[in-house]
Amino acid sequence: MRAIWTLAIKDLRLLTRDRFGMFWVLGFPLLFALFFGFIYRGMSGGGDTGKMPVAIIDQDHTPDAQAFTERLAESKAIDLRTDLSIEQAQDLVRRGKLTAYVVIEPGFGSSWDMFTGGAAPLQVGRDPTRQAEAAYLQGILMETCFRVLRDRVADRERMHRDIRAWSEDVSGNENMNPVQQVVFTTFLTALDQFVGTVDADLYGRGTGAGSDTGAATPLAGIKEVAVARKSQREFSPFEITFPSAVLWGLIACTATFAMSIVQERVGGTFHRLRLAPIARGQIVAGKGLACFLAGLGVVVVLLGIGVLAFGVRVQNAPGLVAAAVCTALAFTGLMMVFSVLGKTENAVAGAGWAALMVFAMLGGGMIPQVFMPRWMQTAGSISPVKWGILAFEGAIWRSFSLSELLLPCGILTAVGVVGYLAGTAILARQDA
Amino acid sequence: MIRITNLRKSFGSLLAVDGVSFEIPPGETFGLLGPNGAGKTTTINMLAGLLRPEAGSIEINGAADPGRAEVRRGLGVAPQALSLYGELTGQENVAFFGRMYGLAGERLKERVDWALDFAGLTSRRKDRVRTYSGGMQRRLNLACALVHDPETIFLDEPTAGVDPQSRNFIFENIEALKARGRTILYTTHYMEEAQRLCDRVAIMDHGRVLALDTVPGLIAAHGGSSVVEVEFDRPPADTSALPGKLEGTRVRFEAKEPLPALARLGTCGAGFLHLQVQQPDLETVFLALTGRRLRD
Repeated sequence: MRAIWTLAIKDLRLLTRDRFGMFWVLGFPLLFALFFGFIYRGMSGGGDTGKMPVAIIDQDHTPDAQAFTERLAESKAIDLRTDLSIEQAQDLVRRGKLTAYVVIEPGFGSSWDMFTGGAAPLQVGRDPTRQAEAAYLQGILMETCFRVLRDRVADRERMHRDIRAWSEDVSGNENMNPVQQVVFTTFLTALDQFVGTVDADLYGRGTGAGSDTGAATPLAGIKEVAVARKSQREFSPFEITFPSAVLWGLIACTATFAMSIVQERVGGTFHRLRLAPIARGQIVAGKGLACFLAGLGVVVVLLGIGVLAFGVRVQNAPGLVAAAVCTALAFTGLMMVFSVLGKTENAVAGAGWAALMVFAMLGGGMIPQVFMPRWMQTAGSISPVKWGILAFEGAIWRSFSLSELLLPCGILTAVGVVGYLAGTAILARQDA
Repeated sequence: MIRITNLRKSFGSLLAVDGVSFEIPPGETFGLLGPNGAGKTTTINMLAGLLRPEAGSIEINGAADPGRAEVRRGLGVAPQALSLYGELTGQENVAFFGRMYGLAGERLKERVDWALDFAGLTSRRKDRVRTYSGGMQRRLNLACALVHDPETIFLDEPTAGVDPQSRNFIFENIEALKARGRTILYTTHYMEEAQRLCDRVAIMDHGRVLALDTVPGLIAAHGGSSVVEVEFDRPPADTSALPGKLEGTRVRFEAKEPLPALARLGTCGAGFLHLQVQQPDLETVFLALTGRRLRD
């Protein structure tokens, strides 16, 4: 065992002295985690970058148009600009600087009137390539219209004025059937009395206004629940990116150590080790132990940074240990297989990285699997990257129990054992 | 004692070693001399247990299987290729290989110090090997083979690609090992090295041992005569005693024993202006045995 340990320490020392290798093992995965973490944080509203840039041009200049603009500006999803002309806004949309512009056309304020009004005249100019965002914007505009309408209803004085104006419209309308005039006048008189006499608190609640916080009641009682999480703490997007980053670190470890075996064979040090009074199995085990320990080191360093600096919190610590051990084992096995794919460094580097890239793509190392077509998600099951990510996510934020971790951890262990045995056997045959 | 009998090894259709036999008694420096591809390294690899012979037997210090750990522990092998870790320091390389042979603690430290001193690398022990010159790396290659103080040492082309100064340093090292009674198997394609260092030499070509003896024995058996060239200061008066044909004032002849012939020339009535005696060497022996020069 001492010989294996000595071999492993030697390889770890060589790894730490290879700055380029260290960048791929630790630097690149960390950059990956931070880059995508900040993007996801922006998308989830955690920063300014996630807001949709939209311009609004008020051509109506009524209090309702003003209220609409103010309500729209309150949206967390929109970064609203009110300082642009329509030409300027069009130009910015064309150049991709704005997602869309909204024009409040003349007549917007009067569109709320009972008898003369119609659909609120809004014009939306959008970037045709950003359909999803445009659809999202349309929903926000509809919601904002409802909020403005509700504000009008919630304002009693305004309601009294509106009811009086509507009553005068009805009385003065010579084209209206007298019977219908009586019906409307009776209704509006009753409505005016209702607005004047109903309990203020009840009226406020009924219209969604008047709460202590001043915040309007949502149109629908939709609550968002993070179903993957059992705890109610705030979610960090880095909890998604760091498991992927760990897998990238392990991929780099795998490629680095696979190449180091070829380097030793080409450079003659493997030959020299074979002259020593140790078995070939010990030499290979030393390499495997080094790769395994480097893999665990990657997990500890990257997740350590994630926990200490980026709000990553581990829900299942024993599960995380199991995930780390099984994933490092799987990639040690892969390393052994890749090390015998060729007899030169170039051959192993090319074939190894190519295979690992396919694993990373299919397994969700580059793009989360949820964005892939179903068949690709199924195909991704051949990738240890998928099971590695699932194991880490399970331990970190998916609240997997140990029994739920059994499947990914079992598959990873099997990959490790089979890969190690196959690689060792092929190496022995090549070396005979 | 090393004894190999009718050793045979082929790679595909290439017969690399074809019925090689020899014995090396303890304390002897034995040379395998031959051109590249003669089968020297394959022979060493079989002796070190890296290659399994197809036929024949190997015995090293009484053990028949050189692949066994206890046999390997007594062997020190300096491979032809520089088998070192460039990103480790010289000291780390030597210590690593020492640990591979079971050394630890004070004994390891002691042996590492000795090996680095032996290779003249003490002052550069903390430097990474990739910063060493070719000659220093070759010396470190030797130090790594000797760190565990082996009784039997295989040196496979230990001076390949080194500068004259380092080559001389390595010669002195090997002579020091000889003086300490180590058994050494030395392969080379430089006849000067075999001539200077080896007690006995086996000349190999195409996987076979063509001749095996001491250097003087090989020369006596296969080297032929010395070639003597003399230029007189004037044409000799008596040409009947000349051992060769006179051309102007020059005469060229071959002689097994050149000294008596030169003594006779001194009586022919003319002084020597220029004298050159080319004695046979291992190169001549190889040429005689194969019809080719060593470096062809």
